[in-house]
Amino acid sequence: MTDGSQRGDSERATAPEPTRRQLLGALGGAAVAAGAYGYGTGSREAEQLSDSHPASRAHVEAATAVADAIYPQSVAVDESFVENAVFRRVEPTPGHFDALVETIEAVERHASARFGASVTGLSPGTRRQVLQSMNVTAVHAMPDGTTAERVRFYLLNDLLYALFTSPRSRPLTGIENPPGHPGGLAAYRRAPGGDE
Amino acid sequence: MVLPVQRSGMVVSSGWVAVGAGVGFALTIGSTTAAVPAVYPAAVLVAAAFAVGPSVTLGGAAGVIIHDLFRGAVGLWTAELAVWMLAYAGLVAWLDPDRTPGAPTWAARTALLACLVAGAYATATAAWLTAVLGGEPFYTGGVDFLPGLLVVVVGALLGGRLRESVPPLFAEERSHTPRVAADSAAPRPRRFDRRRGAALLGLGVVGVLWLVGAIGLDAFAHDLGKFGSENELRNYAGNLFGTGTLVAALGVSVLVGVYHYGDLVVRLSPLLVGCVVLSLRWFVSTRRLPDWGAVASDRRPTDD
Repeated sequence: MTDGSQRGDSERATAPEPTRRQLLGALGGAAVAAGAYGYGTGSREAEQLSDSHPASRAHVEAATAVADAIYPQSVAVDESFVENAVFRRVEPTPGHFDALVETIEAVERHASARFGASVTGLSPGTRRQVLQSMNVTAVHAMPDGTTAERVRFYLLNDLLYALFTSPRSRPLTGIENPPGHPGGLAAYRRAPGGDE
Repeated sequence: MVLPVQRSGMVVSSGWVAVGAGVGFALTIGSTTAAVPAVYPAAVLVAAAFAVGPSVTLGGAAGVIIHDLFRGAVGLWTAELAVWMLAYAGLVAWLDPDRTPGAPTWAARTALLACLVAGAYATATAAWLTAVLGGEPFYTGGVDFLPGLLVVVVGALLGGRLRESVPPLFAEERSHTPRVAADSAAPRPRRFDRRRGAALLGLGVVGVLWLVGAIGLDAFAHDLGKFGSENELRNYAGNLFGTGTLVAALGVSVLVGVYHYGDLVVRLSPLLVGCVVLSLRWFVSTRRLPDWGAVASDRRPTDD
């Protein structure tokens, strides 16, 4: 061992250096404090849609933001449409709305962790990135599968179902009266494909 | 070119852990702001392990966890990323059995091989964990980390060059062990040890087979899951392969087997791989392989 290295070792020995336990304690403390701060600022007032409905206004906003990202640009998305067509419909199966809310929250948490903001605070392009990052676009929809598969089943499929079973999809499909949306007397008087 | 692999893994450097935590936190914030996949900053922190040791990766994983805590959004993505980083750096440290401070370093091709081997196992482990915990299927999780693997390889090569160029920068990491020598700042290159290289290659083949095989099987089983029942699948397979031939019977059996047990095989794959690796180790230890060109008395020959 050389003199230089001995001198270096003695200097390091006299310098105050935190022990491993102190360092881990500091890291843990920082994590707890940061977590408490994050959860504290991230919580929002939950305004439920109704007493029996598990979804809140925040869930409707998040679902509308996702719809804005996945619907074609020719389709205008508004919150009332998503609320009525997705959240206020008859529940398809027991527990469906609970699962829908869970998947929305999973997307929200992922967006917050990996994209730094809530889904509603991101651009439509970045929202699509959120879904791709969760690999929602690379899996099949399965109600009892992984989180990505459940997001595809409960959130994306519900939003697409709402779109394609409403007259809003007419520019895309050409179907003016999807099931459940009769056109009324005027529609029956028109010639096929005609305006009158 | 010499690419040093972690050389003082016996000691966790508190300083490098702190640096890694800070850098990991900052890089993750940067990646979320720029909407860049988090695997890239994680890969940078893993690559740093090749230059300064696994302590920095340990701190980096802590930084990622602290970031997600700060966001109030700890989830499977946090565990997946932290496990990938820690498994990668840990495997690299484990693959280099010589931890003495003045030990010669691996040759570049051996280090590159170790980098790929550790990457395959770490990626498969992280993807398996996410699949088991219900985050996403194995194949999507595995594919997500492949760009990170490329970044680690490039970063490890650059890190090796950096360590060669400015060795005093990394002297502190080595000095945590008492046996510091003055010439330890200039690591001696280790000649390619064919025996160790062959073992590494075997380990790598098993790891790559695990990763690629499980990704393929999982994706196939996932697609077959679209069939509502076995009868639907049998009807489809009957149209595809025909009936009454050996190929048809075999094809239908394979499809039905994957349909029922593909997911289970993927979930149990670590056990299978563990058995194969242990068997391989037993085989190598019981059978003395020829040591092509290596010096018999020195298992770590150098170019000196």
